[in-house]
Amino acid sequence: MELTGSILVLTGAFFLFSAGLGLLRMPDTFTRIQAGTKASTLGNILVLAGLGFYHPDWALKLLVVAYFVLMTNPLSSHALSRAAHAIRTPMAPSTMVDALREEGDRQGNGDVS
Amino acid sequence: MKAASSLLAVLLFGAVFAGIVGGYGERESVSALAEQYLAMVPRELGAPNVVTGILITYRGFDTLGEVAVLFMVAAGVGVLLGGKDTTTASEPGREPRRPSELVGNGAEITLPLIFLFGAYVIKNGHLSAGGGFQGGAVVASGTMLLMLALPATKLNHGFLGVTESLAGVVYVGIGILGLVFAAGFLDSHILPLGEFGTLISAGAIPVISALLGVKVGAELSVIIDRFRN
Amino acid sequence: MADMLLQIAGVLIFFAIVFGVARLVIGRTAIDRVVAIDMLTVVSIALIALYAHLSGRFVYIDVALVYGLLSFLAVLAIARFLEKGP
Repeated sequence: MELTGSILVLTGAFFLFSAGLGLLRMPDTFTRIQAGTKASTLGNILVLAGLGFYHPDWALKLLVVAYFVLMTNPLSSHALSRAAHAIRTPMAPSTMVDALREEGDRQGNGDVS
Repeated sequence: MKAASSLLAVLLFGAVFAGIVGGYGERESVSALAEQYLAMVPRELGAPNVVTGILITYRGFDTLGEVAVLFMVAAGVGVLLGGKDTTTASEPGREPRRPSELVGNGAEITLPLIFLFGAYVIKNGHLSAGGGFQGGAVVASGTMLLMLALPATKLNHGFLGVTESLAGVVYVGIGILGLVFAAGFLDSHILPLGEFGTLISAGAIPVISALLGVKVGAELSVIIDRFRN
Repeated sequence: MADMLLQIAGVLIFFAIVFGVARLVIGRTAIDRVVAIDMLTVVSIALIALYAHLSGRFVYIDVALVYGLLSFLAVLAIARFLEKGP
């Protein structure tokens, strides 16, 4: 039981580590946002689940925290990337498609989302 | 230059926090006063959380003063910022962007959770960490999320004002009841102590805590809403 | 065995925080810094939960929840502020 929990915590910590690495190494703002958010959400939930194996009586509160992170973290990163897109943050040269900007141009103004 | 100064700032913060973390240690012994409180609060008040017991009963008058200060702040902000026509003062030619639909929907899912957590913090004030002020702040932060994500919502200031005034009046009324039926102003022994460690126990502390939570939540919500325009 | 795995997890989380702080210093744009703060918050929630396990105090989970809530609000507010442009 404890071994399962600690392996889950270790996996989660690895994902948190990779989130930090992605945040440092990715080429532009948008890729950093997606690396930092996705990996850290998964890592956080795995750590909380692993601790739930250690303390079954804490499970409900840990579940609430995990649900909260799962709900809020994508929202905040969505708001951030929307703001970054609105103020025309430069993208990496390898970016091919900007569907949101094309949609805005088709509708006549640059501010649709 | 800018990068160097920001690096310097981060290093300074790191040094300060390293000092704090390095100097941190759980205290092994407690002073005589703390020992007395630790023994007295669970025995006399029936509250496992010593801090809330002290704040609401022994230092009840202090807490009343804090609530009064908060009320003065809300009234002052209302006088300074309210009253005027609050049409959005955006400069012409630059209409504000519509808020994101995703954020609005997500806020609708998250808001009940936040308010429920605020109620939990308020109601568990005498059992674990928490209490009226903290829970009220959590509720007010939920209001702030409502304003950030769904800016079209209007708060009913009249209702909030009446609610917090009622909570304040009942709070003082409970204090006077303590003067009549128990040892003094804001004494929590007007209700039976109940079983130690359960949700409904510790005399009037949960009632006072809930009143404080309602009052602080409503007041902070009004203050935040005043600053919006 | 289990304790050793937890220690390795702690070291990994420490390096995640170091990388996040590095991005916070390098920055380039304000959005980058806010993203670093956001990610540091999520890492900190995991760290607080881990510390709650190590010290055996259930109350710290509440701290993690409140911290996540406040940081979420802060990031939303900063995003709305930055959206208006310089």
